[in-house]
Amino acid sequence: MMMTKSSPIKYCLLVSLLSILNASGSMAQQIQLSQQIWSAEVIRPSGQPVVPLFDGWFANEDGSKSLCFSFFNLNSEQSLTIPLGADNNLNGADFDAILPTHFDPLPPRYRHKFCVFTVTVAADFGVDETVTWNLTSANQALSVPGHILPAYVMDEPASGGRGDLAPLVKLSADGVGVRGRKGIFSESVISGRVGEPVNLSAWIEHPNEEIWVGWAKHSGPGVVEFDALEYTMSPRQGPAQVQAKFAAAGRYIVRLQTIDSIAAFEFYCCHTNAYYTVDIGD
Amino acid sequence: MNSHLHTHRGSILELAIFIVLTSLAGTVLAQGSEIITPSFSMDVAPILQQKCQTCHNPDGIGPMPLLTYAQVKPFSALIKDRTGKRMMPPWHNDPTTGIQQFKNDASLSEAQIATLAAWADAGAPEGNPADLPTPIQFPSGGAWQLADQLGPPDLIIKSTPYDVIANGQDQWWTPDVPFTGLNQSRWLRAAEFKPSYPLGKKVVHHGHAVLQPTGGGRPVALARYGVGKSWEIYPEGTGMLVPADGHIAWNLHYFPVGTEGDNDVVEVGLWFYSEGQQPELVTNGESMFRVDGLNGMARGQDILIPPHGYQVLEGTHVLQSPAIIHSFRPHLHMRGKVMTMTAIFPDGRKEVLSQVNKYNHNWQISYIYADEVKPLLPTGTVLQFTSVFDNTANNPINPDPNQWVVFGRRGVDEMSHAWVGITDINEEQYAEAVAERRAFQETLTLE
Repeated sequence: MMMTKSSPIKYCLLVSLLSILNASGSMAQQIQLSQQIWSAEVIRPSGQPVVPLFDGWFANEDGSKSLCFSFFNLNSEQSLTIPLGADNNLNGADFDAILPTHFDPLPPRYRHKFCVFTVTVAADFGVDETVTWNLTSANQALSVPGHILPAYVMDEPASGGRGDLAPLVKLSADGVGVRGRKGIFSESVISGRVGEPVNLSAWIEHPNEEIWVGWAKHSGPGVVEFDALEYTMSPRQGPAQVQAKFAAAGRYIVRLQTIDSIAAFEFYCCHTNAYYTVDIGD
Repeated sequence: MNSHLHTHRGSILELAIFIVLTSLAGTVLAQGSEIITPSFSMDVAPILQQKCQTCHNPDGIGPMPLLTYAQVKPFSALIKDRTGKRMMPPWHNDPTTGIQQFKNDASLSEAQIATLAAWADAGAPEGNPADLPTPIQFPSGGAWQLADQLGPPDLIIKSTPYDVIANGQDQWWTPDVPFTGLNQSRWLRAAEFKPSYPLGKKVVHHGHAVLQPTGGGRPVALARYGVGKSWEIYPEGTGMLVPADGHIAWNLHYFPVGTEGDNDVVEVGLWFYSEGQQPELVTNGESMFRVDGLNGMARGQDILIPPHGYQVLEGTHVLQSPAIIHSFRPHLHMRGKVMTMTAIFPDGRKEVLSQVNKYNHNWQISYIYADEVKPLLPTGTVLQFTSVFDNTANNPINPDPNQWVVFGRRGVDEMSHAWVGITDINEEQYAEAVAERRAFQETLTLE
């Protein structure tokens, strides 16, 4: 159990076990409700924590496996910053992963940010081994274990049934393209200045007429304003673009996510992540 | 054998065992009476035939046949355990709350459970094979289940082939297939959803075949399937209008179970009223009532179940016209445990119609109300649905209680809605139905 501090959410979400009295005396598993929590009350404008989530895992061609982590911000209006360290870490170990430190408010149409980063583990990573993401916010220390349970296996980068396919993303017109949640990283650092627009682009290939694109601040010292947070576009109309303004100097990572349709998120297949490193000077 | 005597003897034995097991001293039957040990032939086989063999036959979906003594004896202890815990037969309705008369009640009585337990405890004796009930011929796994009642389907529609994978993530096969075979609109009387046999019956978890009429119009859900619910016969005089032209939007959820196969095809059999015959009542069939909806959003995905914890969701729906409810089929996933359907009447009265309190994701049972107890609901009734999710280790099919669980389509994610067989009626029809119900109840009282 990952909740380590007494908190409102603890009592809000956990319905205590009493029993539903079963007059027949059957051996049914018994649950009784001393509190009833309705769906709408889970979400509030502000003051609540971010919940770390484990979406699942997929196998890579070399035998290694990648674990996908995501988050659910319980605030509909408040974004949170959780610096790396004691409040935001992976098991305390040194995994090669880029953890987010910025957590956007709850998206209005889909309720969590799917697979924002991955952790790749060796081929011999055991079923009983875990990589745990620890995240403390709003005075609540929450965590989630990632492991390679068969029930949590995910298609990558395409699904056999629905035919979903992760878009191919290139960060330059003639660059190498990547599909999937492990993502593509900008090869060079993009420079800019505080308050001045920085243009970011992605060349996306996909057989669909329309794809979905979303932009977000992944990490960095100041507020980032985007001229468009999400949109749909034809992959044949040219690169996906966004204009970002950074409020403070320092190094940022901007995250792009693209998927063939927003509805495909809830089938857990398949989107592509892209990460841009941006240095902002005074 | 004389089936009447058999039933009578069986009933006496079941009652006797029940009394013994439920009395404080446990000696009621013993005083002046011979204690009767149940035998397979006389006492157990009839129960299995009535409640188990539909699935547990060589072509059924049960993992082993339970037809003969040789087949059953090795499982006597398991049968005692599973039936005692009411894990088998699969019937997850709360017997203490709400309506209890169903057309398809698969549950065992306390007396039947006691008989099976006493038989197992006595060493599973065979008894005299001459006492066995006449064997039932079950339809093959590939046959239409409704054929015995209705004959062959009037029309069969098919999905396009899908190559089933052995392992991996849940798969959704959603082909769009032209609807052909009718030259005019027809009134649907019954439908059966038939996965292939044997592979499809193992791997198709649930599915829908929805007719999208040419030129628009309201989609017509011809058939909906879940493991444990494969057909629907509309009540006498009730039907659904099926346009002649359109295309079928298939939505098939395949659940990998370690077996693969190419070109799997799902079929739906349709039975129509005679040409020119129009049923009095028009039904929508099974309609979805969301419990996870929120403020009109397509997906109110505010499911968030903590590790080792629970969550409760509620959804409410106001009926815009009177309605008859024919059936109730909760749909949750692996952490789903309870769903309650409650009617809040316009005068403020509140009545639990049904509560499934041992929900199991591996079964999608439709609880079909007996005609005389179908809820008749006036305009303005609020249907309130309450779902409980159990993400603890006590949930036997929980894949990992350490996870936070959110909304999603996979079995390891959660969702919550009810499929309710419902027919909207007008005020006049409602008044008639209420009068008929009252007359029936008065008849019962007089009798």
